[in-house]
Amino acid sequence: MEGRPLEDSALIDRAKGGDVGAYEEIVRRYRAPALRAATIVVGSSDAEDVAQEAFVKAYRALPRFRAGAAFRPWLLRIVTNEARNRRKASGRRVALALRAAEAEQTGPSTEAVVVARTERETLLAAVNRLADADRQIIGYRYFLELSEAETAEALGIARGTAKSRLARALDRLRGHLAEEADHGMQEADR
Amino acid sequence: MTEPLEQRLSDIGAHLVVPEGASLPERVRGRIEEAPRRRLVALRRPRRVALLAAAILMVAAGAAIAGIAIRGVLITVDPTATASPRAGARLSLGEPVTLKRARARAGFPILVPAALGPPDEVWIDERLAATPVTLVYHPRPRLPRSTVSGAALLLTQMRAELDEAVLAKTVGSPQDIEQVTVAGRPGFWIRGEHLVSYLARDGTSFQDTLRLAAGTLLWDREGTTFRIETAVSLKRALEIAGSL
Repeated sequence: MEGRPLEDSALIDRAKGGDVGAYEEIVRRYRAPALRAATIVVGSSDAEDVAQEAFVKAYRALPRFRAGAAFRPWLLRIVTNEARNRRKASGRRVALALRAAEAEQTGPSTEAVVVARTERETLLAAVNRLADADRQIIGYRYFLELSEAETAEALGIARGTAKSRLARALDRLRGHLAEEADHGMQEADR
Repeated sequence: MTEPLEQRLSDIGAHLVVPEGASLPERVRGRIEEAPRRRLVALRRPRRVALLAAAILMVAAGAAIAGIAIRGVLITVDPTATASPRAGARLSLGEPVTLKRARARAGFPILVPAALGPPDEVWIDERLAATPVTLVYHPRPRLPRSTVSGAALLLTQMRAELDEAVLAKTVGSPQDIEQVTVAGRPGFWIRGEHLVSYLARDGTSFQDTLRLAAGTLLWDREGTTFRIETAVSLKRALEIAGSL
């Protein structure tokens, strides 16, 4: 591809017309959210496989993609279906993980970094304890940073349902965090 | 614990372990380019007889032009043939199977060269009438990695006779072809990268990407065409071929 990068919509048009190179570029642009969504549903080890399958299926489904519609939630819907099927088949517990400690560029004290990391670990552990549906909606909304509408579309539910389900998932997450905090205090008391 | 929960969740997003998928675009492209061919063959099976006849005609015509032919393999000289920049990403060998399964499904004997022993991977391509079975060997001492295919050696065996003609090869220049003797049989050593085009049983032909760095050895024996694609020398390739 030469000159100015093409708009997504132009790439999609070309891909619809059978231009596999254009589709390869779409995959390049959208692999990050696709892999992230797959990771949230099946965990990081199967995410690439799921994303690959999903992109192949999305290519075949392109003729049904409505011109002008938002591509990301449409694609993520396909990723979600593929990932959920994989999840059912594997039955393994999904545990999201934090990347190994990275060198922080701006210089808060080492202590502050450790505290921040411990807090993240506690929070993520609580997310990992949630049921699949709760983890998925929280993950899509906050880890993928989708809007409420996009979250609903990607998960294949009505917008109102997404809103109430997210609220309930957050309540349960707060519950887990409170339990852990209690547990932590009991440990400290001993 | 001072920040709202939502904000703390958003912060975690940036620190999650998520695969990068560096090769994902290329792999997806490979899968897409491979898939329609399979469907093509399956859909058109009823027309097989007529198309088979067409295939024979095409190969016969090609053979007349080229003047060199082994059963089912025809070598033509095409000055426009150039190395594809995307070579090696997609070998498109069909589907992975065990050696035992390949033998059962191919319907002809699949030989393993004693010089190399059991292959690291076995693939069968039932999209083609000749049902090529490819043994893939990974790099090892005296068997360097091909920069093109990523593997060290590919040995393809296929039921290729003229009436199930399948394969056409296109070579860059006539100097690239050398006539050789492989275990007493006439064969060809083709140097350098080249395009491979297949003729499917429905009469359609499609091109394959290049997959070798140094050379291809082609010969046939008892109705089976053998093809070795490798980065090793002709001498070593003949040694391997002789151990079949």
